[in-house]
Amino acid sequence: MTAQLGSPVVLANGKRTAYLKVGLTGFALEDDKSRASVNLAIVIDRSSSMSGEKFERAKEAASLAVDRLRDDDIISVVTYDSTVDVLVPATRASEREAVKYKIRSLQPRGMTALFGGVAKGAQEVRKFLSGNRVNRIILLSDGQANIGPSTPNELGRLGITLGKENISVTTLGLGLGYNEDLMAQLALKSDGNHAFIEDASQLAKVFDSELGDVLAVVAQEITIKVNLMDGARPIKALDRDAEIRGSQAIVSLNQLYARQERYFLLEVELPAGAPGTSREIAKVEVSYGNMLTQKTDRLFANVGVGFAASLAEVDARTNKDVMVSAVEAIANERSRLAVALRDEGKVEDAQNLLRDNASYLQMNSVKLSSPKLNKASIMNNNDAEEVAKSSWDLGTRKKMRKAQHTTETQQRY
Amino acid sequence: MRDKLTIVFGLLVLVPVILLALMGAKVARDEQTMVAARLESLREDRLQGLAVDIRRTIELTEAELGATLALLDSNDAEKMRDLVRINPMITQVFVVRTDGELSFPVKEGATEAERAFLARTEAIWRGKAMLADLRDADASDRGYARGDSISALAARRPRGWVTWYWEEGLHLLHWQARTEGGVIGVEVDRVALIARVIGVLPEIDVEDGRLVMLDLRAEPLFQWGRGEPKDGEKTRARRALDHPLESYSLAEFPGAGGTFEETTQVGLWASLIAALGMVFALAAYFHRERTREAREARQKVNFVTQVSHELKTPLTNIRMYAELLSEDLEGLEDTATPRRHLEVIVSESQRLSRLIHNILTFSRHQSDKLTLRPTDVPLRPLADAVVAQFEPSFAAKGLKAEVSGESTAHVDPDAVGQILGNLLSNVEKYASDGHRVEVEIKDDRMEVRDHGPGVPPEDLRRIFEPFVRLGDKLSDGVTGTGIGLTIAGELARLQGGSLDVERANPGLRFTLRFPKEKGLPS
Repeated sequence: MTAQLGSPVVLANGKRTAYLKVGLTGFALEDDKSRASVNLAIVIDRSSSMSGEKFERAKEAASLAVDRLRDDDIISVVTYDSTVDVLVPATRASEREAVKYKIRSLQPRGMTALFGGVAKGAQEVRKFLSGNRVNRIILLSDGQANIGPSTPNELGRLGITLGKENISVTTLGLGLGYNEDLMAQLALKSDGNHAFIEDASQLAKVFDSELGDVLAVVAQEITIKVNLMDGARPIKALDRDAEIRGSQAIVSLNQLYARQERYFLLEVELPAGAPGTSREIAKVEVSYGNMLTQKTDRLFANVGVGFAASLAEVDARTNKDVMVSAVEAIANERSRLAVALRDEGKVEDAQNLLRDNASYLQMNSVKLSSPKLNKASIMNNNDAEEVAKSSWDLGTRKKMRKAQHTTETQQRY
Repeated sequence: MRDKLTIVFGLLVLVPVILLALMGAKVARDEQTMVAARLESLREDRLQGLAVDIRRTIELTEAELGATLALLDSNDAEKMRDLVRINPMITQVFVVRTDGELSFPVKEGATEAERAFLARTEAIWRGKAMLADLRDADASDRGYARGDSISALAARRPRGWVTWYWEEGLHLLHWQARTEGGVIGVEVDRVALIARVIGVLPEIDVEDGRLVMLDLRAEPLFQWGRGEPKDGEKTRARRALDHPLESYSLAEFPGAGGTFEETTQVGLWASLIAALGMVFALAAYFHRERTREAREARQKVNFVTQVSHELKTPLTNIRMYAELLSEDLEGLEDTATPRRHLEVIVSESQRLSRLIHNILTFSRHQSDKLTLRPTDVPLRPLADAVVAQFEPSFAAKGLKAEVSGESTAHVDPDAVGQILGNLLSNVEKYASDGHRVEVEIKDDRMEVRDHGPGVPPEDLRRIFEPFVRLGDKLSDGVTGTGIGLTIAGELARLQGGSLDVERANPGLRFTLRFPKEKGLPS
């Protein structure tokens, strides 16, 4: 764990703001045997719009996923159209041939009861729910939800509920017809991955990446608590929901993958200090379920800040890594806002915002010498062109949502 | 004859078929009503069972929440916030003091989520938590009145739900009384609760129809069952869920597949058709039997006709040669005895000839092949000729025939001769006791009157029926085919006239009427 300020040295005299980054990096797994067992539900949309290549690829990808599981993993398969069918109730992956046979025999039909499908998938996962397992639902859909609760907010709340139960939902949006807000919300609130699969041929690859993540969970139920002291107070969390009250900020993550870096950025207000002095301003506590030892571990860190008289000294001490993350997060929030503006039909506003965003990223990429920010800047410029097009909500909107989600959750693919 | 049979058979088939159809329709209607009633109660039972499952899930949730809240220190805000963080059902914990004031959460130091909670529950806490705004139709049934505060409720009941609609939908608070007074409660996430309820509902259970859990706006929350309901189809059964989800309901749609009623209908119609088939088969069987009998009878008649034809040729020869012989005898001496013998041969052959003629006429008439060729005929010579034929046999029985009158009629001479011959033959057979028979030719008719024993009035009509011979007394020792009068009557009718009989006391009078308008010279 690292806990660092973007500007560990700030100007003395007067209140200053700084970004606090709490980073977590998953330890590496030695081999497949040492990983935690997985409790996976694959929820497949079988509505008639899936028919053809999409559905064949989905079945193929799901079968491949089943093949990658270890015998002691748990697998269930749920399909839904207007009704929900628990195709394979939660069972050990050693039955993989039977499971694959059932997947192969699926035929597409009907409408989309997405909520019911996920709820039933969750019910299957719950049968073997354990903090020692990686509990995961993979939802594969190409459509809208039209039976059951169907707003992004409601699906987000389902995500929160499942997240609290330590079940993450990964949502794989297939083609151009799915509701990306709904799929992204469900994934975000349950701390799962989200992917936009434009072409069914990419499905196997994405499924493989997803399973790579699932099989590499090294920590679960992660809670980061930041207690600010000595006059410092939290302003807001960047690009993420956090519980902030008084001098405390709490954020929960469902899991951390092996060698993955995940972080939490907090904008804090620092009290005034005399030049040349330094003080402790925060205590950070991270608790997590270690998937290797099956125990709850805790990590602690203290964060201090120094006060300097000159701006040059402040700049020289800037933590570029933290600042890159902060800039990225701020730009990501703006990108989200641009999508909201575009949804309201304010095309020009959205375009201007994205262009501003691009120059903001460009400026910082130079200042912080970060190629990553430069890339993001180019993407924002590109998006600015795309939002003006009438066809933008076909592919671009989904791409932007996916990119936003990736940045926000530090998703690996 | 055959048309009548066809009609009878038609009726034989149609009547039971119509009866069967009527009865079948009635049975079907009754059955349908009964099945519908039984299905109705089955459906209600099923919905009831599901509603019970859902209630149990809610009760389980209540119990879990109760256990959780019982362990919770309502003065420790951190613990309460931790609970919200980890419990999937709970979005907020709240504490109400005895005086009805909310002591947690409070605006000062509240998190963003807590502030949102305070905003959406403001109506509940305003004016010491008046419940008047709550959507709770049967509040009085639950032992509290509208306008009560939650803490007032807690004085009477240990726990309860408060539900209300705001923005996206149903909001739920579950509270329970604290030992130290006041109330501790939680806001339950509707989405989490629905997901949990869906977890216990079946996936695909019913073969036909579609079961649906509906929200307040009758939008489906979850559905199962294989049938896909058609657009705008009405629910077959519906039932509201129990408190606190009373604004939700369970409903059943008929679905597109074949229903149970249709299946029984199919069965009923199948049995009806089977019964119909049986009736038809039975009718066909009887019809075939009947036509077989008729065919056999026809074959017999054909046989008799054939034989009669065969008999006629030699008989004609016998008659002819007997008559030739009788002519040859003239001029010879002492011919009395051979002449008498010859007369017997001639008279018997004439009788046999009449008999055969009658049989042939009858069978021709039976097969509708009898045709007459009327011409203008002087009746007197015709009558004389016929009577002359009978003279020898009449003489033998002491009968005397008298012919009187004269007229001309447009008739078939053979037919009139045959009629008269049959009448005189009867007189010879049955009325020789009267010793007298009068044949009287009038303007449009010919009357034959005997002086024999006659016929009782009740039998008068029957004597024209074929093969009817009256009483043993009359027919004792008398031979006959029983078709003579039948043929005479038919022949009279066929040429447009009639043959009637009346009692003349003693004896009978037969009146042969000729056609009135046609053929009579003016």
